[in-house]
Amino acid sequence: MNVTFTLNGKSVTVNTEPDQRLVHILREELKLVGTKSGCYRGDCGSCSVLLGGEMVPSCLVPAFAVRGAEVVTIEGFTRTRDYADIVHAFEEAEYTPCGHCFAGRVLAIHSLLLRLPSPSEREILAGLSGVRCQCADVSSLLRAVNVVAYSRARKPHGRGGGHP
Amino acid sequence: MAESLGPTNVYTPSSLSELLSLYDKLPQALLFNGGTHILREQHGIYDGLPANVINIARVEDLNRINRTERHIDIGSAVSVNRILDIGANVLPRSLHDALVAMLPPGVRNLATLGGNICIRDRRRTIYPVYLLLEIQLELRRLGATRWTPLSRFAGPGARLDLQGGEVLTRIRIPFSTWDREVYRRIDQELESPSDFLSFCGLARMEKNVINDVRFAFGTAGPIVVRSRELENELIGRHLPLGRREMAPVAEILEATLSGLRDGLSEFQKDRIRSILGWFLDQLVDE
Amino acid sequence: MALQEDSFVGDLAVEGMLHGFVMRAAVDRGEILSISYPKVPREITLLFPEEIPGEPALSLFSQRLPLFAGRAVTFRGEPIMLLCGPDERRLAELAAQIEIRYRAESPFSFARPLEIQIAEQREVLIGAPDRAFDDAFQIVEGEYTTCPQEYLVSDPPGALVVFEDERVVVSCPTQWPYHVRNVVATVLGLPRKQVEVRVTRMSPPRDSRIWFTSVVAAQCALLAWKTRRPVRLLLGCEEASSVQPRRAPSRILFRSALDRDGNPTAHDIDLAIDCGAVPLLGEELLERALLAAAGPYQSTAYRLRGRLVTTSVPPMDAFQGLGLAQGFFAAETHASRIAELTQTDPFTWKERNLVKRNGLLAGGAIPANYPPTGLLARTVELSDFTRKYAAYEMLKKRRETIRDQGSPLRGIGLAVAYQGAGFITRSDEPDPATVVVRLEANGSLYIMTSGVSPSGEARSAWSENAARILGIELKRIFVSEPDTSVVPNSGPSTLSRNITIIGDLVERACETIVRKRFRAALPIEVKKSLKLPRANRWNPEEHTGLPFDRLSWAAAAVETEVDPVTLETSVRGIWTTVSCGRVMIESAARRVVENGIVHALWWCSSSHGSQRSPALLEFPPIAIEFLSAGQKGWVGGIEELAACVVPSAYVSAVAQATSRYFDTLPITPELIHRYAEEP
Repeated sequence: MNVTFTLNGKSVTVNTEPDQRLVHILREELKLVGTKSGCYRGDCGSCSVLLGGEMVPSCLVPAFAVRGAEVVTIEGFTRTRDYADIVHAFEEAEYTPCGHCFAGRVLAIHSLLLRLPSPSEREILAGLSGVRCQCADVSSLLRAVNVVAYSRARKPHGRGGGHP
Repeated sequence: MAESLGPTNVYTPSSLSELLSLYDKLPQALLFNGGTHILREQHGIYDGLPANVINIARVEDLNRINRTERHIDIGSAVSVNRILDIGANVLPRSLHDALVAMLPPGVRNLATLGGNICIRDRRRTIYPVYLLLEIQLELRRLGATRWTPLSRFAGPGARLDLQGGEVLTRIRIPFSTWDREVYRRIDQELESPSDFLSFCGLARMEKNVINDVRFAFGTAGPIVVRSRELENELIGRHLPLGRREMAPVAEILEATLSGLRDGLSEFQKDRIRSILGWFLDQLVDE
Repeated sequence: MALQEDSFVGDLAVEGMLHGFVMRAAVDRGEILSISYPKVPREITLLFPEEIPGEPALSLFSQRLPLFAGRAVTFRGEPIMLLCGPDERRLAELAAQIEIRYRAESPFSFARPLEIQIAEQREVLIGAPDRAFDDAFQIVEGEYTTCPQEYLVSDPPGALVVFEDERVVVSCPTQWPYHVRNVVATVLGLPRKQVEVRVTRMSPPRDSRIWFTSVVAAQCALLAWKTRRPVRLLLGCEEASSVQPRRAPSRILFRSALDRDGNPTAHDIDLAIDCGAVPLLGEELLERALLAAAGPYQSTAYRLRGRLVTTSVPPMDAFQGLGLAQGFFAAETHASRIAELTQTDPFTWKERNLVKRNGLLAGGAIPANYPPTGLLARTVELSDFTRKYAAYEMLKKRRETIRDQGSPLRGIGLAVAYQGAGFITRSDEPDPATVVVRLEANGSLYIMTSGVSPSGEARSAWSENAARILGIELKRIFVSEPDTSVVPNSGPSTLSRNITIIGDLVERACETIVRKRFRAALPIEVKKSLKLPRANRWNPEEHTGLPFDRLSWAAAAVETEVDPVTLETSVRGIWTTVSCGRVMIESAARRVVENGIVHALWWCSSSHGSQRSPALLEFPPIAIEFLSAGQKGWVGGIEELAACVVPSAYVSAVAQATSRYFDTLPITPELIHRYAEEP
C-alpha cells in the first residue's frame, strides 16, 4: 500500500503494509531515528511525534491513518524556534534527558505549554506524565519547564512553532 | 473516499452515509478511529488487522461537538483531549476528572469516547461516570436510528447491544446540577488489573440531608457495583449517619457485594466499603 | 545543544542487514521433546545450538551460563534456537509456526527449595553466640523478604554484528565491552583480538548491561557468522521484560539476643538468595548480602548462614546494591524493630550502636573508614525526625484500627548504611583494570578507558579531575570512545568502579604525567593498572578483613502517609545525608542519588513484574545533603546508597503509620489490608 503524507514539511510516499506502525515507518523505512521505539503501547512516550499538531505516540498510529496527514518528528521540530527555547532551558536548568526519551520530553513540553502557558508544578507533572523514563530528574525537569514558560511569557510568541 | 488497499482492505469514508452503506455491506469490518484499545491489546506488533477495516476518523459527522442548554452531544470519533478542551467548567466534573485520569496525554489525542464505550470485554475505569450521568447513545445503521441509554447498551457481562451494521455515532451527556460530584481512581490500571478500582459519586444535599444520590464502582473486569436499593435507602437521610442508621445501609451493601456474579476479593470489597464511608463523610457540611 | 547524533543500537542499520530473532522456551523447566517447523523461506536462516563453532556458553568469574537450552530447559524464556531474515514481520510469522513440544517438570521454587537447588552455602561463626543467647535479657526475631525488581530501562537490549574482513565488529550497549569481546570470541572460536566491540549509546543502564548484553551479542554474532551478513538483534519490550535479569529476591531470618539496655549481644542470621537458574554473580551476591545483613553496627557475636538457591527463572543480576541492598533492608528493619520493642527512639538506638572509630563492623569486618560524626544526626535534623516520630507514635497508640481516626496515617523511618566500590570476592587479576592517559605535544590530553559513562557524569568527573591536576583547559581533554580496539580493559562499569577505581587510575596517571612533564619529551603516555592491597584482604570464610578499600555512608529518613480509605501509600518526603569523600561534581552526584532514591521507592511499592515506570506525579520531595570532605582526598561511590537505606526507612515508616510490623517488599495496599485484618 502507498501512503503519502507530509513529513516535516515535505511530502513523502512510502510503500508499506496498512497496519505497519508509524514508528516503524519513520525509523526503518525513512531512517528518522530521533523517534525511538519502546513499549508499543503508548505508555513510555519515547515514540512521540506531532500528528496534525498534536502529540501522539507513533507506535499506536497505523500506516493507513497517516495518509494525507501532517507529521512532525523531532528532526523536523529541531528547526523551529520552539525547540531552541526548550533546549536552551535544558542547558540552563542542567536537565539532561537520556537520548531515548529526549524526543518525547521535548514534544511533551511543547504540547503542554501550548495548552497551558503558565502551568503549576502539578500541571507540569501531569502534562509530562506520558513520557516515562527511568532517567527522570524531576527537579531539573521542573526548572527547565519553568524557564521555557517564563521566557515565552516575556516575549511575543505565536503558535504554530511545530512547523519547520 | 473508500478504497481497497492490499491484503487488509482499508476504507476511509468521509461522510456518515458513506460509512453506513459500507458497514451495511461489510458488517464484519473493524471500525477504526483512534485504535488505541485495539493496538494496545495486540499481543505482538505484527498481529495484524482483520481483512476489512473502516477508518472512521475522517467522517465529519462523527467529529462534531454540539452543545445545548440541556446536554452536550459528542461525536464518537472526537478525541479525549478535544473533549477536555471543552473545559472543566462545562463538562461534568466527574467526567472531566475521569478523562484526565484515563490515559497518558499523548494517547488522549488518539483515544475516543466512542472507542472506549464499545470495548467489549471490560467496562473500563470511566464506566461508573457514564452510568451515573445517564448518558445516551445514538446508534445508526443504514435506514435506521435509535437512542439507547448506556446502561442498556453495555449491560452486565461483556455483551454490547449492537445490532448488525450499527455504528455508535453520538454520545449525549445531559447537564445536571449536583452539589457534590466526585471521581476517584485507585491504582493505575496497568499495575495489576485485579486491584483496580474506580468510583463515581453524585449527590444533592440540603442542610446535610441527602436529596438525591448516585454512586457506582468500576473494576477492571466487567463488574460494576451499583445498588439503586442502597441509593434509595440513603435518600432522605440526615448526615452524618450514626451507627444504628448505618446498619441497614451496611446490610444492603453486603448483600450487593455478595450477589455479584463474578465475585470480588475481600480486599476489593473492603475498599468499596471504605470508599463509600469516605464519600458519605465528604457530603457533610462542616 | 543540538539534536545529538543518536546511535542507540536500534538506530543502527547497515546495507544488507538481517534481523535476528530468538525462539525461547515456553515452560519454566522441562525437556524439549521435539521442534517442528514448516518449509523455511529461502531468505530466512535458522541456527541451532549444535552448530555453534566455539564454546556454547558465557563465562563470568567461575560460573558458566549456557547460551541455549539444549535438551533441558532451566528457565522460561531460555533461548532454544535463532532465526534471521531481512523482514521482521516474516520472521515473526515463521516463528509463530514453529512448534516446540516439551515434557514440563515442576519448576524449582524459592519458597521451598530442594537440596539440589543449593548452589553455594556459607557458614560463619564469630565469637560465642550460643552463650550470648543463653544470657540474653530479651530475644527478638524477624523474617525479612524482598521481591525481584525489574530494570526500567527505556532502550531495548540488542546488538549489531558485522564481519569486516577478518574482524568481527560488535556494536552494543554494554557496561563491560571486554566481556562482550571475550564471550563473542569464545563462542565463535576466534582469537580475542579478532573481535572488536564498540559501545553504543544507552539510557542509564542501572547495571542491566553487565553480562546480559554479552548473551545477546553472542547470539547475534552467531547469526552473522552463519549468514556472513550483518545482523541486528533487538529484544522487544515485552520480551526484554520477561528475560532480562532482575534484582535477586531474598529471605533473611534474624534472631537477636539483647542485653538489659536493648543493645544486641549476638545475632543468628539465616539468609537465602534466589539467584535464578544459574548463580552467575552468586558468590559476590552472597558475600555482600551476608556483610550487609550483619549491619553497620558494632561487632557482636554472630552465626551467619547463607545460601544461594537456584530456581527456574532467568539468572539474577547485579542491580544497584548487589546484595548489599537486600542485606541492609533486613538489618536496618530489624534494628528499627529492636528499637521499638525496647521503647527506644530509633535515632538514639542506631546512633548508640553504630560502628565507631577503632571498632569493627558487625560480623568482624574492618571498616575502611567510619561513618562521620553527625551523619545520622544531620538527617534527623533535616527531617525533624525526633519530633515527628514522637508525634506519630502518640497517634499510633491512640488508634484502635487503621480507620478509626479518619485522617491519613503517617509514619517516619530512619536507616543508615554504607557501600564500597568494586567486587569483594574477585580481584581484577588476571585482567587488572587498566587506564592509559596520553598528553600530546599540542597540549591535548586523551583518557583511554573501556569504562562506560552513559549519562556522561563519570566522563565529566575524569576530565575535571585531569584538568585540575594538569592545569589544562577542559576543552582540551578528550575521553576516547570505549572501543576495544583502541582502549585498554578497565573492567566493568558497575559497583561505582567508574568513579573510584577508574577515577583513581586516571588521577594517578595524571600525577605521573605531572612528574614527567618537564623532564621528558611530549607526547607522554602513562599506563596505570589496579594493584589490590595485600594487607587485610577480605576473607570470606572467616568474614574478616577489609571488604572494600573505602566506604561511603548514607543515612535516610522517609516519611510516609497511608490513605486509610484506599490503603495507598504516598511519600511525604525523603531526607538523605551522604558522606562519600570528595564530591567532584555536586550536581551530577545529586542526580545519581536522586535517581537511586526513585528506583529504591519503586522497589518498595510496586508489585514485581510490573512494567510500569514511576509516574512523575508520584515523585516525592527529596532533600540530599553531602557532608563534604573538601577538595582533596578520596572519592567514594554513591550509586548503591539509596537502595541500601531507603527501603528500610520506608518500611519502618509504613509500620509506624499502620501500627503493623512490615517485613517485606513490596508493600502494596493489599498487603496492608491483609496485615491489618490479622489479629
